[in-house]
Order: sequence, then C-alpha cells, then structure tokens
Amino acid sequence: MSEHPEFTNLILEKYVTGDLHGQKRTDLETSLKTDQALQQRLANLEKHNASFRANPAYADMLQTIKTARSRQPGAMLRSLVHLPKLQTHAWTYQLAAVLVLSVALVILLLPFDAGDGGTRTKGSTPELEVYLVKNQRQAKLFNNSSIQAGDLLQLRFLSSAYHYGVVLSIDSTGQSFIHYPERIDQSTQIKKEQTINIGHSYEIAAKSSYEDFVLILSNHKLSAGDIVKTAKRAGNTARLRDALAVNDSDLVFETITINVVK
Amino acid sequence: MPIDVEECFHKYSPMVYRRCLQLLRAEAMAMDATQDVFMKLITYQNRLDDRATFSLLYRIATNVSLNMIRDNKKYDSKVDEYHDDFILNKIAHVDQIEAGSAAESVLFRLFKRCPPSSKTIAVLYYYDGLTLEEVAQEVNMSVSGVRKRLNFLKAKLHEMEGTIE
Repeated sequence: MSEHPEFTNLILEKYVTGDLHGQKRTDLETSLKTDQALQQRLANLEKHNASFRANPAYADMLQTIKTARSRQPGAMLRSLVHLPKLQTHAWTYQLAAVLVLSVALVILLLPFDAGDGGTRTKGSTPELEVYLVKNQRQAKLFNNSSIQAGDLLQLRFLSSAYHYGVVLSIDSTGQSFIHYPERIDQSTQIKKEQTINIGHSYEIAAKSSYEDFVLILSNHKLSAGDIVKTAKRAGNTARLRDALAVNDSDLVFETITINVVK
Repeated sequence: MPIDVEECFHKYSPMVYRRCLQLLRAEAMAMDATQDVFMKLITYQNRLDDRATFSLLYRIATNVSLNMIRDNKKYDSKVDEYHDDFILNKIAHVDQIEAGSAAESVLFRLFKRCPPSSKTIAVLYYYDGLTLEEVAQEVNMSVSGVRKRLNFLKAKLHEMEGTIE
C-alpha cells in the first residue's frame, strides 16, 4: 500500500500525466513543496517514464500499434500468432528485434493485398467466415456454434463477384455493430474475388445469448450508415432481411449465428 | 473527439505498464499486458472519445491483468505466499461464478452503457486501498452503487473457499 495514504499511487500517476485537477492537484502541489518523500516518489515516476520510453521494447510496441492501427495485414496476424513477447531483460532485445523482423518478412511474403487486407480468390462464392481466436490459435466457427462470453472473434469474407460489401452483427438484445467497413461513414467498396480480412477482433458480450453476423454484398453502392440504421430499427436479422427487401433485390445476405454460453 | 491511440500510447504507456506490473509482478507479463491494453484501444478507438482516458486505460489495464492472472496457472501456485496476491487471485476468478456479468470487458460495458466490472471495483477497493469515494470517482458511479457492487461481490466470494475480510 501507499507510503502516503493521502496521496495514493493513482493520484501521483494522474499528476504525472496531467490528469489530476482541482483541489487534489492543489493539495498535492502544496505537499510537494515540503514533503521530500513525496518529491522522491514523483521523481521516481518521472525517471521511470523516461527509462520506459527509452526501452527498445517501447519502440517495438509502438511499431506494433502503428501497424495494427493502419490495419495492415500485421494487425490480423498479430492476433492470430501473438507477436513476439516483449521481454524486459536487455539480452532479449536483440532476439525480439530479430523476431519482429522475421514476422515482418513473413507478412511481406504472405499473399495479402496491403491495400485492403485481402487476398485474391478467383471464382469464389460469397461467404462470411467467423473464427474463434484462443490461445494464439484460430478455429473456424460454423452456423450455430457456441462460444463463451468474452471470447475474441475474427471475421473475414469472400467478395466473389461483388463490388460493395458490409459486415455487421446483431445480438440477442437487438444491438447492432458494424465490422466492415470499420466506421459507418467509410466506403463499402471492395475488390472483386477477394478474401477480405477484417483487421480488428471482436469480443462477444455476456449480456447477449447469441449474435448474428451478417454479410451483405451488392454490385450497387451500399451505405454502411443506412444499413446499420436499418439494422437498429429492425432489431434482428429476419426483420433486417425484410427491411432491405433482400428477396426483391440483387443483395447477397449471408448470416452466421453464434450462440453465447454464459 | 476520437482517441488518438499513438498519442495515448506515448502519454500513458508507462503508467499502464506500472499498473500491470503492480498486479502481475512479472515484467514480461506486464509488457505483454501493456501491449494488449493498447491493442484493445485500437479495436474500439473510433467508438470512444478522449474524455477520461486515464481512468479508461487504468481500468482496462486492471481488467487485462486480472484476466492474465485468471488464465495463468503458474500464478495459482504462488498465491498463498502473499496475502495481496491471494486477494487478486480470488477476484480474478470471481467471474466464473458471477452469472456471466463480470465476464464482459470494461470496454464492452462502456459501449453497452453498462457499469464497469465488479472485479475492477474490487481491485481498486481491496487491493489498491482506495476509499469508496475514490473508487466511485474512478469508475464514474455513485458511492452507493460501488458499495452495492462490493457487497454483491463479497457475497459471491464468501461462496468460494476464502474470504477477503
């Protein structure tokens, strides 16, 4: 526990990041003027901040985050193979760097399309694939598979002969989530005959007893925002299908239901 | 305003690492946990805003560390050595009996406008030694709400072999 109960580690951490405000900040700054132990604790935090940021592991992590953020293939690969464990012992930094470079080389050699995270799959039929990511492995899930709340899922889909695609899910409580594109204001345009990997993983909520994942493809422009709005109003997959008049349109409407075990 | 993950990483990663290290007591695990915290942030960056980023990251770090403790069998073997670890281990495993509600991540609870994990509240109160008021402020709940959560969790813990009195 803290040596200074009135100024916990949490308060000091907030002060260092500039997130401590109001009376607590004033009190802390007043004490800092006279309390040498407190001054030392603060100096230790700032010193550790500097050494942490100078640590090669910091740069590695930052690079991993940049890669994942830009949704290059590495983002998905990391979730599947778990990028090198970042060790804090100095002798392992070089080994970690070699591993990072090796993984980067593997990524470059993999047949991903860096533009949209897809691979060319000529002659495919439209398909939505859901994978359970556990213990650094992936397992393909099928319609009506059961998983546990909190499990991580990874999605990908085959675009086949279509130019526009949206992937969303609707859970048992009627909540809708967009998976592709990442945001509802983004373009839904996709390349034909591609396997499109959705770079971010998705965590299943415990409140839901099932989740329907929906792939919608078309050769006419799709608006992710409009589809999500419709899904929210519909509240379930069957009503969404009706609302989009799937049977009277050129839309491809593929669903996979995943059950959530409490 | 959406969260800028890289900026957050630069500003908060040392704090996140220290939080993970405090709970995990293993540098390599804490590094992995730190990376996991920011990977979670990336996943949901467009659905979050930059208000209260510190508290959000602190809670995710706590939650990620608890999940690592729960999933790490080696941790089980040494929990009797330290009382604090014993408490953490108990809290980390409590979602197995909490009717699924605590199994949701902090982030997911935010999206679904649910309160934060009871486990996180318990760690802040029992392990970090924060007062009820401080916990309430951290998790953006009322003091009575925090007290209710703690009482509920305490009752569940009593159902297990040990208690955290």
